[in-house]
Amino acid sequence: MHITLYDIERESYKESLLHRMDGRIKMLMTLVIIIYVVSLPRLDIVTIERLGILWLYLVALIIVAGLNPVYAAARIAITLPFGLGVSILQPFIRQPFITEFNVLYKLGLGISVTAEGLLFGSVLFAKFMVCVTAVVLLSSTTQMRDMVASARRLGLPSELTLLFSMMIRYLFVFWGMLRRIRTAQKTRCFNIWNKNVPRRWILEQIGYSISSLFLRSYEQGERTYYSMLCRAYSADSQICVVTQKVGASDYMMFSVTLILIGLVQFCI
Amino acid sequence: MHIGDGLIPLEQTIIYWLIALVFIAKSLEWARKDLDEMKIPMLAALGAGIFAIQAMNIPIPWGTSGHMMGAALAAIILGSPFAGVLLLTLVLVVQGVVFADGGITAMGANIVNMGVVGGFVGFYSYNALKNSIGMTGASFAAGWLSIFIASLVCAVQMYFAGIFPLWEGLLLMGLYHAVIGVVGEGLITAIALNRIMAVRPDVVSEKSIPGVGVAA
Repeated sequence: MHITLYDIERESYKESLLHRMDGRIKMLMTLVIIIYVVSLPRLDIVTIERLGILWLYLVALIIVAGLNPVYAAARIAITLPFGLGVSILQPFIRQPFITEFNVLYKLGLGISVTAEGLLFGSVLFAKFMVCVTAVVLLSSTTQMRDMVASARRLGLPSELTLLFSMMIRYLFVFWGMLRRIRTAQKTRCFNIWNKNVPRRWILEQIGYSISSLFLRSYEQGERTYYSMLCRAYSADSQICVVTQKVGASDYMMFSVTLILIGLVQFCI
Repeated sequence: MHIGDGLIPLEQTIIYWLIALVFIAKSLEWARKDLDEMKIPMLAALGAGIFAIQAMNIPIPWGTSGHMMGAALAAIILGSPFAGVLLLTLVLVVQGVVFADGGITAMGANIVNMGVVGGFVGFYSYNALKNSIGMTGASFAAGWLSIFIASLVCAVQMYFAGIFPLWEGLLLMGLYHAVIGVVGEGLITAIALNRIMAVRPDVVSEKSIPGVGVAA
């Protein structure tokens, strides 16, 4: 399954307990989980148990949020290659911060699998997996504009808020433009792997598409800027953000998460 | 080159975030001062444009397709390394938060290697070369160097994180990006810059036109 901006946006517009939560609480919750996960010791078998429980909790939240399971699995799967690649290599590497290695298997050519490397690789992968799942949950239950508004209310500087709130509006414009360029190229049988045309020509076409995307976004920026000026925009303009009150269910979700982290940390 | 969460220890991610924040603050200052009045909103649409540009498939050797980073191109056209920093930061934040690509704690490290290193290496190598070998050659070199050096920095970050040996990392990351960078970043930056120069030369910063500006 190929995931695009549209899929993420569609999921984030669903209705559920998690979708209704205040954006600030959801962002803080995600941040707390990720920081806790990253701070766990990297050479401890218990870390994997702790991460396993947190991961199951996040999966349960994904189910409660009513996300499409194929979508959620695909979202997680497409981000895995880098983390998986790095983790798989660990058993074969002598990590500089580990002083003693117990060799499990010798593979010849000086390559061997170490117990410490195996543990380290598993912990890395588990950490990566939990963090990715947390971000997938956040982005699938929170509309982008809510995230920007929440970030603003959490203290993001007004200039960055302006940049992000406008950028997410144009993401779809230029994503659509990219799609139209691709469709147009397809109708003309353009294929980047076509061996019957010179490679140079193919690269030129891609370069032209990229320069066209660059110019069109630049010009869109200019147009928007001038129309903002017409509507009396100035450097001191204030951004209006949607406000939502933190409700009882938000406090509840946040406390449940904190209690779970506490239990995982002190009872395992 | 997007390092994910959980791979870099927390204390190191804080250092990268602090470095990134200094450069983000500097780039906002640049946008406020150098970009005429308060043209900041303009950059928002460009950020969205770079996001789409990064999704464009580029054929690279061995049958895999690569993607452009765009830091050098943005820095050259807007005439400041900070343009690369700010635009790449916007893109990386969206990729990290919306697509779970690149992580939250690790985002600082990614902003440092792609935004800061990409933008600065791209801009200064272009300016060092533009008067001697011309716009095309200089933009090719700038694009290639920006991704090559960024990949080396990424290898060093992975070494400090304890997840990859230093020399093997430098060799693997360096070689891989040196090869894909020729087409993916170098050639495409040169072609795109030439095209933009031909269509809308007024968009390209005066500082980046050979014969005038910084190095002249």
